[in-house]
Amino acid sequence: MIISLDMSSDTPIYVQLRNQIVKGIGKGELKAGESLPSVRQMAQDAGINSMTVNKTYQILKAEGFIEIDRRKGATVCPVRQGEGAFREKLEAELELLSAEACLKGMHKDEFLRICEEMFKTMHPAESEG
Amino acid sequence: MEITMFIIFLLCDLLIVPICWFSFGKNMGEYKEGMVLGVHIPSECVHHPDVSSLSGKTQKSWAIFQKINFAASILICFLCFWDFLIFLIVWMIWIMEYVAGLYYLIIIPHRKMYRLKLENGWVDYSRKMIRIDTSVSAVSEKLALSWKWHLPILFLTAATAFLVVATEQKYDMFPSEMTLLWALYGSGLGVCLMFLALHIGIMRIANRVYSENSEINLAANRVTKRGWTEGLTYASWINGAAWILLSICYYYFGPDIPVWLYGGYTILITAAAAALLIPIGMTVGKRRKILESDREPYYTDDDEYWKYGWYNNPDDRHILVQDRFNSMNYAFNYGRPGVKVGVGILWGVLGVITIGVIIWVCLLMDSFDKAEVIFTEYDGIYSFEAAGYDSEFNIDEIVSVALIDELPEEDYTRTNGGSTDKVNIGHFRGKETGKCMMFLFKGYTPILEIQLDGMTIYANSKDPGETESWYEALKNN
Repeated sequence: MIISLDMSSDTPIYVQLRNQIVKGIGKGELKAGESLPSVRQMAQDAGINSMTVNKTYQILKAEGFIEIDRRKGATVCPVRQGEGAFREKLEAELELLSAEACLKGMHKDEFLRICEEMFKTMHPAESEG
Repeated sequence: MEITMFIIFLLCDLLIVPICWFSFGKNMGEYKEGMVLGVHIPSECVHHPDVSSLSGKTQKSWAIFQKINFAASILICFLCFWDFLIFLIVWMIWIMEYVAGLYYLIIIPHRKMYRLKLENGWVDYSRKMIRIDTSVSAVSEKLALSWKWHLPILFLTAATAFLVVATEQKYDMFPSEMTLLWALYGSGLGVCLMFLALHIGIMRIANRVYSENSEINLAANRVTKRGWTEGLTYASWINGAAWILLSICYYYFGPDIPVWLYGGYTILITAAAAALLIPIGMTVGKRRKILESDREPYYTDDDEYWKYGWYNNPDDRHILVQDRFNSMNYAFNYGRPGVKVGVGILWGVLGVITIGVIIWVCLLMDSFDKAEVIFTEYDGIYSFEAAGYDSEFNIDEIVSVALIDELPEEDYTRTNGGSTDKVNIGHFRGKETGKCMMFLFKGYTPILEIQLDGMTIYANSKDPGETESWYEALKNN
C-alpha cells in the first residue's frame, strides 16, 4: 500500500497516517496479518520523527486495527464485529457529516448514494495464509 | 619505478573519466525519470524549442568536455617519464579542473532549465507530498546485505597490528620505514571501517517510491541497496585481504620485500575499487530496466529543493539522499543543520591539503635542485646534511672509512628521501648493504663510504678534492 502524507496540510501527520492506514485496511490494500513497517523504518522513509509514527501505531492498536508484537512488530488485525464504542464514534461523525451536507443543501438520496459508493470500495481482505 | 607509476595512474585515469562520463549520463539532455537536466517537466513539454535547444547545447558541451579530458588525462601520464614530481602537480591540477568543470556543466544548465520551467509555469505543487510504500518499508532490512559481513575482515585487518609490531621487533627498521608500515596498516583498517560506516548509512537511507506499483518499488529499491551494500562488502574484503597479505610478506621478507609484491598489493587495491564500482554501476542499468517496465510512474516535483544544483530541504530529516544528477551517487541535504559546516570543513581541509602538498612538493623539488652536502665536525661529533636530511655519528661508531669509485653493484630502495637526475639524498636500503644513507651527487667521484655499526653512509661533493678532504679528516681521527 502506498501512503501519501501532505506536509502542507493542517491535519496533523499522525492523524493523516492513521487515516491512510485505516483506509488501506478497509480497501483490502493491507491484508489481515500483513506486517506494517517498523516505527523506525516508517519514520526513516517518511523523514518524520519516530515519536509521530509511534503515536499513530498506538492509536491504531487502541482502536483494534493493528496488533503489536515484540518479535513480529505491527500487523494488521482481522475484521472484527462492531464494537459499542465504535458505533458511538461512527454515529457522532455521521451526525456531523449529515449536518454539514444538509446545510450545504445536499439531498438525503445523494448523501446516501455517496455513502454507498464509498462503502462499496471497502473490501477488507483476510490473511492469505 | 616510472613505468609502475605510469601504469597505476594510466589505469586510474582510464577509469575516472569514463565512470564520471557514464554515471552522470552519456546523454545529458535526455528525458529520464520525468526530468530533463535534473528538472521535472511535463512529458508533453520535452520537445519545446527552448528545452530542445538547451538540452542539445548541454549534450554537445558535455561530450566535448569529456573527450578533451579523457585525452588530457592519458597524455598527462607520460610526464611520469620526464619528472614524477612535475607530473604529480600537473595531475592534481587536472583532477581539480575536471571536477570543477564537471559540476559547472551540471549545475549551470540545471539552473537554466529550472528558470525555463518557472517562466513557462510547468510547476507541479506536489512537492510537499511524502509517499511511503508499506510493502517496501516492511522488508527494508532484507533489501540490503547485512553489515555484519564486514566484521570478520575488519577484525582480521585490525589484528595485523600484532604482525606489524612483530615485524618491527624482528627487523632493524628505519623509523621512516615503520611510519610507512603503520600508514599502510591505518589505510587498510581505515578503508574497511569507512566501508562499514557507508554500508550502515546506505541501509538507513529512505526507500524511494518510484511507482504506484509496489512490485516495481520493491525491485528498484532492492537493486539499489543490494548493489551498494554488495559492492562495499566485496571492496572491504579485498582491501583487507590486500593489506593482510602485504603485512604477512613484510613479516617474512622484512623491509627487503620484493617489488613485485607491491605490484600484487596495487592490483588487489585496484580490484577492490573495481569490486565497489562494478556492482554500483550495474544498479543503474538494472534500475533503469525495472523502471522502463513501469506503466504507473510516480514523480514528486521537489525541484524547488534542487534549484541551486544541490539538495537543500530543511523539512527533510535525511542527511543523504539519492543524487538527482548521478543515480550511482548520493548527495548531502544542505538544509540540515551542520551539513553545510561539515561539508565546508571537508572541502576546506581537502583544499588546504592539496595546496599544502603542491607547495611542499615545489619546496622539496627546489631543495633537491639546490642541494649542497655539508660535512661538519663539532666536539667529536660528525654530521652530513643535505636537503633537510642529516646523519650524525661520533668517531667511536665508525667501523671503516673508504673512498670508492662507485656504489656497490646492487639495487637500492629509497625508503625516505629524494632521487632525482642530479642527486640521491636520504634513507636507502640495499639487499647486501642493508640500511644506508646517501648524500650523493650523480656522476661525481670518488664516493666516501663510512661503515657505522648497523648502517653505511655514502657521501660525495661536486667540488674537486672536497670528498678526499672529508676522508682525510675522518681517517686521521
